[in-house]
Amino acid sequence: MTKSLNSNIPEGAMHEKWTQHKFNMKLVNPANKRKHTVIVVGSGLAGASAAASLSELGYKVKCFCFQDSPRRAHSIAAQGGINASKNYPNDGDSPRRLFYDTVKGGDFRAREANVHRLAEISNSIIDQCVAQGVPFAREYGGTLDNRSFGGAQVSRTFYARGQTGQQLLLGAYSALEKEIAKGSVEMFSRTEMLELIVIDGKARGIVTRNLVTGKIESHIADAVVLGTGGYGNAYFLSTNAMGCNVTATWRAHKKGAYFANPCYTQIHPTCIPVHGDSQSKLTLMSESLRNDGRVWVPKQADDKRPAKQIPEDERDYYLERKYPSFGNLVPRDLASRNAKYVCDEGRGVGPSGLAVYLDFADAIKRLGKDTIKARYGNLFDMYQRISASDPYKEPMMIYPAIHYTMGGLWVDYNLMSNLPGLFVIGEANFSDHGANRLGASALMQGLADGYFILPYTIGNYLAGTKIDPITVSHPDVATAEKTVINKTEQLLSIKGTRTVDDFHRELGLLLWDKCGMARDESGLKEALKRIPEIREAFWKDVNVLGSPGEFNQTLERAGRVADFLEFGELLVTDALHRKESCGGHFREEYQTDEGEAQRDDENFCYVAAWEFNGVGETPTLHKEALAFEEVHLTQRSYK
Amino acid sequence: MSAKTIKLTLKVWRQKNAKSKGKFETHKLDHVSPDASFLEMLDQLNENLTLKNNDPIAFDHDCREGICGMCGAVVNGEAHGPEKSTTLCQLHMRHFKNGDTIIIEPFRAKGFPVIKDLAIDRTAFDRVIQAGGYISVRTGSAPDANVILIPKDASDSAMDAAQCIGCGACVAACPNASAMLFVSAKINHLSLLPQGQPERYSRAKNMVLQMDKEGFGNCSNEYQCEAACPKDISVENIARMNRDYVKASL
Amino acid sequence: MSTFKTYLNSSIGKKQVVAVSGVALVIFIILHLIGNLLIFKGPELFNTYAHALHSMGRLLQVMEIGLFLTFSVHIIFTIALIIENKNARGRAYAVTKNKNRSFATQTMRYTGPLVLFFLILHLLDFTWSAPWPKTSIVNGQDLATYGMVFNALLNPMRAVVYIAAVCSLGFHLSHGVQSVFQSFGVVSASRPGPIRTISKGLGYIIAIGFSSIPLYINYIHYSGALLCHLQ
Ligand SMILES: Cc1cc2nc3c(=O)[nH]c(=O)nc-3n(C[C@H](O)[C@H](O)[C@H](O)COP(=O)(O)OP(=O)(O)OC[C@H]3O[C@@H](n4cnc5c(N)ncnc54)[C@H](O)[C@@H]3O)c2cc1C
Ligand code: HEM
Ligand code: FES
Repeated sequence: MTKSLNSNIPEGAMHEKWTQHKFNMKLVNPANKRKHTVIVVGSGLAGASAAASLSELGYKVKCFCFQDSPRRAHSIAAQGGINASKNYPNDGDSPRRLFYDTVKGGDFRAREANVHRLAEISNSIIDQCVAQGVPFAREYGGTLDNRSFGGAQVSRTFYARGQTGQQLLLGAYSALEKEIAKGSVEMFSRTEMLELIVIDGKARGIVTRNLVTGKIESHIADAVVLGTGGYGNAYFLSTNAMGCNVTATWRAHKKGAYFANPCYTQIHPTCIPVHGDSQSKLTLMSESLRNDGRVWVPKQADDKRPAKQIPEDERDYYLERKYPSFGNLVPRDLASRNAKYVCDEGRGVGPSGLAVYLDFADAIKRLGKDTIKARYGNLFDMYQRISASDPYKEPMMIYPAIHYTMGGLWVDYNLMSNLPGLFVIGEANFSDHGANRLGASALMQGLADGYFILPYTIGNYLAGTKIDPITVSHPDVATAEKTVINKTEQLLSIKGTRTVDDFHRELGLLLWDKCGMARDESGLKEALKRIPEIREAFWKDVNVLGSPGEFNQTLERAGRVADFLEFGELLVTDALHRKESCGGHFREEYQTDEGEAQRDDENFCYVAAWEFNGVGETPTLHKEALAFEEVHLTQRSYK
Repeated sequence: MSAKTIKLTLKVWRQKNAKSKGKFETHKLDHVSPDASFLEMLDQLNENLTLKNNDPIAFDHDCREGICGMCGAVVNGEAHGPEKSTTLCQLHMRHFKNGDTIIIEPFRAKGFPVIKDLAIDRTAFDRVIQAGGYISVRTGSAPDANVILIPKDASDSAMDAAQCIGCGACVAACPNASAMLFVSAKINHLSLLPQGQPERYSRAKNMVLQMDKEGFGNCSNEYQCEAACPKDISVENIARMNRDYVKASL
Repeated sequence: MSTFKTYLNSSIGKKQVVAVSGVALVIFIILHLIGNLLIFKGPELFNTYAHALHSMGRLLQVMEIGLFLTFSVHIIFTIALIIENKNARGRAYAVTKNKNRSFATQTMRYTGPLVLFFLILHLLDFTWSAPWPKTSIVNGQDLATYGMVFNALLNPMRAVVYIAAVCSLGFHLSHGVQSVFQSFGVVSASRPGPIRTISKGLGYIIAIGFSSIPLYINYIHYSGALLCHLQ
């Protein structure tokens, strides 16, 4: 049964909604705030900023992360930058323009009101970060510098060398540590959330495993916030960190939270290609390289000559050929898909045939090696460190990889899921990016959620909801703990013949193949058949050694892979159901004559939020209709 | 990307938990791709161990791109191995030769107790930050970002210090297991910026005292930390911290 | 705890105390060297200098006590640091590799005690009464302090020990002096540059300067040049 969802978007004009909503929301009396405990799972940009801000307001906060320190959340790896509509360069930017670009970039699959709020808040984020000591790049006059990024015609990206995510996270982390020192945040690092505790229909706590001692523990609170990041690792090889997982959101989903748009995954065109079987993850090379690099492959299939020996007229600069006006700077999805096509035609380069050249020879000739070095020196060094080839002399080899996931737990305007008391922020929610995220917008969204939205909306919930006092001795808590303990014991008891990574790799390859850059009905159906088989094999034949009561990294991974094996099915189900192409979701059957993604606004202009009905059971679809009042639905074109 | 593989002898530190004694264990590993990273080589060893029902080696890692600071081990006597400015996860096996013996130990320091095998507990660093490694600004109370003008040089120097990934290689490489490079980088990132001035001296003092409490050693100005740092943090930071610390104390 | 006590107990505080006392000792050593080099000017001038020193009376005593205290502080704080540093590592590495760690740097904790050992010998030789015979008679003439120094350093064993000790001191200072700059953060001595050069240079000067004395004494004895002095 399909039922529609209430997104709780406030009434009023678009630009007044948030202001008005802030005024209308109920407040918690300052003296009562410390009587409320809030659990924040995740210490990335979203989690750390939320935990610190809630604690500053006076709430008691418990914060969790699986790394050894909150500072190591994967937000640390973001390179490029963070957007804000400050209009410092005086090039005509405004919150409205940022709003417009984001809705359009998301291929009209995001909620307008959320995106508008994001654009309004963006400027305060930069102010906050600078005050915390984030060393953003500066002009000689001492003011902040901006650079431009894909999908926008203005310069609105703030950056700290190639380590923007690191610096922003260190800012949020320092705020968090300040609150930990004050005693109002209790930090649990190396602690993994393995279950959501739902009592009387409300999210009331979590069950965790201490990754060092193996101790299973329950934590009770008045609200639970998940800021646990994206699920890109379902694909095994991705630019995500090794520990990134779907476990927290998936287990919440199994407890009733709807999962929205899981098929919206983003593929980044410029990653270092796979080198062989032992590969464990992929490394991103900044998108900025496409400003000066030219993408090409040989015209002939199976041309094994080294790049240098392929004469100019036997090279196919396919992006320049197909998209004369945008050339090498087409959006991420187009660049990625076209790389796949040429490799499918047997024209890929490198030992695996799964790579295309990104050539700087012309740029070096035109601008000189020094200029190129100044622009991309650190990226070239990183490339050389990993691939042992000198990009000043030989063209780089690149290939697309899974990078970001737009899908996530469904939330309303208040960032609360359909389960009362469960809030979801950052990459973990289905977010404001629709079907495609623009560069430098994820950092903005994570910090907007954590610093400036959640602290208000959670107060509204706490002030307006009757929350019964409970303790860990509540019977539902024991049941939740039992689920976790059973699962752990089961994993350890199989003692099969295959390793956890082996299964993960198998699932990842399948998803990449059938539900990656381009998808079609038959492939998706095949994946839907294969995933349950892999899952079954996993539960029969996986080998997880050691005991539950110790530091056991295989056990950690096994739990995460078990969840990916269930989640993968939902990902594919969603991709199969969405019979249109939009943003990162490209269905071969639905393209324009020019090979562009063809949306079906008539039938699919909605958020698909799935309800869990049991492992292997068909989930129930709930639709949140999307209305576009401010930005009118149009077809993207980059010709 | 070569097709040839190499064969290695690995002497790896094994220690069940913080309390047990620990010892070296020797493993032969064949078919190692020179294009694999050091951690991928360890993955390969762990896969082999698991298939033979032997407990895999515990080691910390996450991003595998040299930015999270989670990985680290002492490889043949060098923190993060032989390559300059490179974390263990970015060290590639092409820097080793067929037939090499590689000795792998955890970062050793009183302040970093071993959790298991190569995994260590670095929460001491978090506690040092808690002692003052922040600017006390509440969410929402910041002025417009361009109100604070910061000379480009100051901003660049602050960024140089701020690049620290908190991996602990400085402690591991220091003959005295001192954490001065980490602590000074943290202190200076903030003290080089105008926003960091109000708390500059109390921050320096409190963070140093916390560092001492954690049981790290004392700097004897031998600069081994800088040589091992994967992010090239300069020991000039230590000089600057020492200066601020005397001012703060006397 | 009082602020000052906290400071003295802290790692940087202790290190800075070692540095201050080190600087005081360096100043003393330089003055001492200048004084000693008067040996080259012959017995008369040297003895006048020695006499002048002794006639300072109380003041000399105060200086000696000060010097003794400085040494004690330097040594006590150093020992405290060394013990803490040993504890800070816990279990030692199976292998260690030093990156650009100079000989002088690695041997601070050995060159220091060597200097101390020598110092005691040195004081026994020239200041206190020693359990071995001492004489100031050279070629039948009583040359007072000059003679005492001359006879002591003529002993080849003694000369070798003396040279080894001052070389140790030289090494000690070639690391120590730049270290002081870093410890106080006056300027960072982190890169090769003037501070490192000064540090090395001073180490050499001290080592060569002091070594020149026993060498000179042996030279004038065996070459007969001494007789010219005695005329
Ligand atoms: C290589 C790379 C480069 C990028 N570059 C950019 C860029 O330039 N600009 C941009 O805007 N975006 C960029 N992005 C995207 C952006 O970095 C992320 O979307 C964003 O940082 C996610 O932040 P987060 O707080 O939601 O999650 P994360 O930072 O991933 O944090 C997740 C947190 O949840 C915790 N956690 C997860 N699961 C559990 C569990 N089960 N139990 C307990 N804790 C758990 C983790 O420990 C961690 O603390 C990039 C992403 C990648 C991978
Ligand atoms: C004339 C005698 C001496 C002089 C001039 C001298 C000078 C110095 C100087 C300048 C330093 C550097 C301080 C710093 O790093 O900031 C130093 C350090 C040191 N001294 Fe001496 N010193 C002398 C005698 C001794 C003695 C007798 C000992 C041993 C018992 C000793 C042991 C050390 C040690 C171990 C250090 C290094 C401390 C550290 O790096 O933590 N020194 N000395
Ligand atoms: S794993 Fe992140 S720095 Fe090595």
